[in-house]
Amino acid sequence: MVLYSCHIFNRQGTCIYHREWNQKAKKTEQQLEEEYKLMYGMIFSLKQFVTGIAPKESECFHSFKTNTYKLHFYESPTGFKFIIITDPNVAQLTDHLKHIYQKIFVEFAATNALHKVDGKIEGFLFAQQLQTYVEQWGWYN
Amino acid sequence: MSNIAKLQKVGDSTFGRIEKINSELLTMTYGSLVTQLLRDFEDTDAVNKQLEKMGHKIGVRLIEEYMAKSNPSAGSCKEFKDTAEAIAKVGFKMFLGFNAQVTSWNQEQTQFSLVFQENPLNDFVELPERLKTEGLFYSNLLCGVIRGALEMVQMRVECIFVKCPLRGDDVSEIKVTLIDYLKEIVLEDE
Repeated sequence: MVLYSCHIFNRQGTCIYHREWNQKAKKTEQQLEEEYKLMYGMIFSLKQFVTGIAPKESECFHSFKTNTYKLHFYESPTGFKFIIITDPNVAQLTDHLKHIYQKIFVEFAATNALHKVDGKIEGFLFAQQLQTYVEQWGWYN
Repeated sequence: MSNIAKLQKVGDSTFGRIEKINSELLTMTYGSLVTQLLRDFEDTDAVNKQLEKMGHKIGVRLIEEYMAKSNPSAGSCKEFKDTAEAIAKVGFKMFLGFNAQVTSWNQEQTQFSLVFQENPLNDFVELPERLKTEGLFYSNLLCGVIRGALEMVQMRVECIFVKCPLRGDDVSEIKVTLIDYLKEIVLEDE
């Protein structure tokens, strides 16, 4: 099992944090921009679809998978979207994503005075904490 | 009613858990902030506005802490009514250490008042007559905090201080009016 990437989007659909693991090909800036746009668009539509066809009031989706990867999704009550891509054998990561929001994002980004509310996460502490956290998973590489 | 009791519990347990600072430190710091503003702006209305604006900036961040620490799954807000109680019982307790009462709903359920007796910000404060007549709302920051916090959870509200013990009223009262729900934004494709 391996971890591939982590994206965080703000409410405006801008990617405010992105990090990759275990990927060989380096993407150009332009490719990345394109990827963010596609990803946000897909998440947004999928979310609307999922809640739209639900027979009862329901939660949003947690993950989907193909034969090569699995995408895990969590949205904070304030509309920040946390996305992690792993290989398809990884179990549900919802609790971990919640932890990233509650214990890492809130502590090291949202309450950091240097961080702008909807801005990119540039603080080095956040990256460091996230790295420590995923390393605890043991399987991340 | 049980919902309110539940929220009260959430508020109490969260309050017990989070880090605290000396309330006098907060009171004094806030006091010097307001005096400085009064000196800088000289105009009471401008100070009210400035306090509200500062509160707004606090609110948009504070909501994250609220969401992360209070674990709101216990009482998620489906209706505006739940939101009101959550602010009064959890939000106020968490960050200020006391509960507020929710009263005076209007018929459409879009407007309510938060009423509270204590307010640590008001401690040791005595307003000069001039500021009383010019209409300074000493704790106007709180209005901004509520507005900012709710804005982040897709609610646009207007908050106005209506009563303040520093101006001779018996309680503090903040009137909150729901304007509309903000929609999630779709990405523009160029």
